[in-house]
Amino acid sequence: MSKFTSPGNDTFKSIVSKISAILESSSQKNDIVKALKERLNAYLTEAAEIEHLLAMQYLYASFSMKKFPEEFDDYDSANAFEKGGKNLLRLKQIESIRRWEAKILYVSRQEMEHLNLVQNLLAILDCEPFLYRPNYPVSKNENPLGDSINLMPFSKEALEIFRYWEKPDHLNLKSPFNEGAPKGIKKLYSTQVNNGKAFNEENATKLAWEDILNTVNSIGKTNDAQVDSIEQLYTIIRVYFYFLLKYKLIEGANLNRIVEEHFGFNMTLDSIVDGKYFEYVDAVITQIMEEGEGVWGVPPSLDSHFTVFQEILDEFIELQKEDITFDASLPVPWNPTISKESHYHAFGLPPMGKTHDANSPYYNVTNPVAIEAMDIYNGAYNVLVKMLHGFFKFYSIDYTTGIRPPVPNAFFSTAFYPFMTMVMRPLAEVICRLPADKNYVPVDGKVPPKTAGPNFFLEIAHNSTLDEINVQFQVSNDMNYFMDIFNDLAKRCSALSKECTKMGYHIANYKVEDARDFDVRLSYLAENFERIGQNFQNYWEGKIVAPIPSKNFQNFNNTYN
Amino acid sequence: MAVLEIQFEGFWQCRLATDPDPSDEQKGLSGFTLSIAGETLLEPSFWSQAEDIKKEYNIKSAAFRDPMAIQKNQQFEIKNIREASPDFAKYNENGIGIKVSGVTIDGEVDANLTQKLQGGLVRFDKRKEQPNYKWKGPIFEGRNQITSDGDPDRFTLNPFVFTVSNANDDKVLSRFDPMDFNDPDKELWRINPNDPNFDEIVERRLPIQRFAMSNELMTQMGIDPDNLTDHFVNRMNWLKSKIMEAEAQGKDALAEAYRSRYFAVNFFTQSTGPTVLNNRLLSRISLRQLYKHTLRGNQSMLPHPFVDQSFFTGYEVDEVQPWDLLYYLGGYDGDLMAGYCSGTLSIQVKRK
Repeated sequence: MSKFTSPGNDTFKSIVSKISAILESSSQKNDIVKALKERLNAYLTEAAEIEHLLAMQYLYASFSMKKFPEEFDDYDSANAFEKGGKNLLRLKQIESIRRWEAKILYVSRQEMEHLNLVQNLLAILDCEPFLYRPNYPVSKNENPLGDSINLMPFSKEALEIFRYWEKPDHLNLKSPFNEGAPKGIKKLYSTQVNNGKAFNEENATKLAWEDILNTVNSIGKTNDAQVDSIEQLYTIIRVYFYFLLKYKLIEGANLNRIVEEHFGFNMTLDSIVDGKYFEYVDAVITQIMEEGEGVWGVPPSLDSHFTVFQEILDEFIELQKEDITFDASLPVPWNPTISKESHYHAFGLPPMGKTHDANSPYYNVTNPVAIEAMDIYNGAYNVLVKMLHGFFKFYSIDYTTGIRPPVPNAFFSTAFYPFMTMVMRPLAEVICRLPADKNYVPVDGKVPPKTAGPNFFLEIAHNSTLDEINVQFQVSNDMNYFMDIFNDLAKRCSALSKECTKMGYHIANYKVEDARDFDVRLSYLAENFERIGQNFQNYWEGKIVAPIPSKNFQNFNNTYN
Repeated sequence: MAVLEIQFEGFWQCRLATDPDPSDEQKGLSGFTLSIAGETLLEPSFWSQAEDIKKEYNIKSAAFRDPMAIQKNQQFEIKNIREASPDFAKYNENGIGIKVSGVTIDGEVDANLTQKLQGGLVRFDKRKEQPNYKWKGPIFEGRNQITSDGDPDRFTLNPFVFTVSNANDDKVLSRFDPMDFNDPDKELWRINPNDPNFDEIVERRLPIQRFAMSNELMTQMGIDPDNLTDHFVNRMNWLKSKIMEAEAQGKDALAEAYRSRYFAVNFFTQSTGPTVLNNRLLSRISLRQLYKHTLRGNQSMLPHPFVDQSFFTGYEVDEVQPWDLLYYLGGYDGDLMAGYCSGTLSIQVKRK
């Protein structure tokens, strides 16, 4: 439930009065409103960036987790449960790992949903969708949370960092950074930790009003939109919306662009109602905060992200006590890269083809099969982001038929299911099991000593301006642009499947009954790309409509519906 | 001409990965179906008979066998067949197996054929001639909306070979139904919804009717439709006790396997929505999808129609005209990875 404090409260009355007085007397009212919108847009893009960065960071950790007992080096497939062996212990551990991964994937999905909700807030402000984020590793200066964000395998250290990102402001936690990080990463971290500063909603709201006053007073000047915490950021966004909407400085816009699809989870958010834009904004922010830090409840609610990571951490430590050799992750590196061009990154890249340099924050993947798999992945990721941009920009529903227009429908019916589930995850799982190093010699039934990882490389120059970003994200109105990409990815997956066979690369459990080896998963992916392309064309050309009322569906009203 | 009708019903098993897991997922992470310790990897084939599962996967290892369960039903000795909580008594007693429940000629019970076929084994069988990836049998091929016609929830079993055997498992009838009559080996994912013949090719095999909340289905399965939410509450309570039992016996891996089942049931009855229609577990168990199509495989395609004419004393069973099949699939219990089926096969026969 929202605890938003309206400016009716005496604390804020004087600030609000000052803002109102300036607005009423100013001949530059339009410029002031424009400046306020730009400022709010800056905060919203910051929020979108954080949600995007965290979602991918959590995904990377979950993809890095072991899945099959054969991925433990000491699992003996030939002697399933021989006395004295470790097989039963490994099976037991795999169950825990599975549940942790399920939880982290759920948190990632919620972060993606938050990203979606921020796009809805941008639509209300009549702004472009925002799906940019810097490539990993992210410099501490670019992260409003104050520290470097890296792609890291699942570990105790990673869990502590995730818990830190999601902690309520008032909690005082030991710095999770530096400990356990590779040498090349340590230097990226800040020496200061934002800790134990109790979140005071009244103060945060006051700061937000002061920020508005400051913006009103300094038209034409650029102020840094940096904030201390997620709680502070969303508090500011809420107050800005309150002010702009309640004082009718903006009309809520784009009711039709508000995406209401819930993807089968989190169906608690009420629909937007025409004329009640602020109520919707308030509900969105409340949901984001409650699901993340659990800010409205002290202690945080049991399903908040903070609590989820704390639980996993507790269980992980317990299992490590039981078995000091226990390692839940595959040997994926921190910040893998195959990139040749430094202008996409915050930090200098190591020379191509060179094996890992411990002083670099990047891990150079040098195995050609893994490089191709990562490059396919990035091709898919970039087209996915473009489709999402197009979806959020052009989203619309015909209120009479309940049907989406063809183009956003093509994006919707491709980007969510099946692309996220049937492309991004399976390919990432394959990559996390492929060898990272070019000199790798396969050992039957064993995981390579170092494996690759999907680096979610976004092909946009580092330090691009907002205008440049918007240009980069412009969605092609040429269907063939997308079709060519799908067809190319299909061909490359098919070729990669054969390459795995040729090189003798196998998943560790490939001899287990029903196991799907690399070649099988990649061939399946190739088929799926091909058919995704056909479907995309049909949606784009309006030959398939959606959502369609389920054919021949009978719903009986009863107490359960 | 007369019409021979064979009625059948029973539980089936399908260990398919579920959204948001990709459809080739092997363990089950974010979907509600899981392969747990002691079981084989997820494999989406449809299994009509427990014996077939046993032939394929054998029995559970001792570390994952629950003597209490096996005492109730020997099927629970078979790998991948899970026990339910005691409230789901019909499943625990019957186990997996679609069986013949009656035989009529022109609507009248045929005592002789009924006696010979009662309890016979009915299969939605594999098509050996059509390698269906590495899958072992027919599957519901959705590929997370990739093979969709725009409606994400309609699936057909494919490839489709329907067989009936007597109680000794001697086959008496079998017929293939190609998805695309003109290209019987064509894989489902290759059939583009833009194909002008899509309706003729695929639509005929999709459900003709769907009931989101079918009281008849639940009654038939032995679930009280008025207390549907209790179904998974009971399951969770029972799983909690099984975790403790296993721990007490020092079967830690088995306890963890039960814990994962508990996790999935708990998660999917809470996090996916408050109502039956939104709730991913409850919505599946009450869903009944009705199919009505012909079986029209002929001598030009494999497998050929098969009839053991000697079995049908006094009748000649037609192998040329299409056979009519009406059936539902539904009642999917995501924890057991088992659902229910009921239907009738109708074939023209000549009296001799």
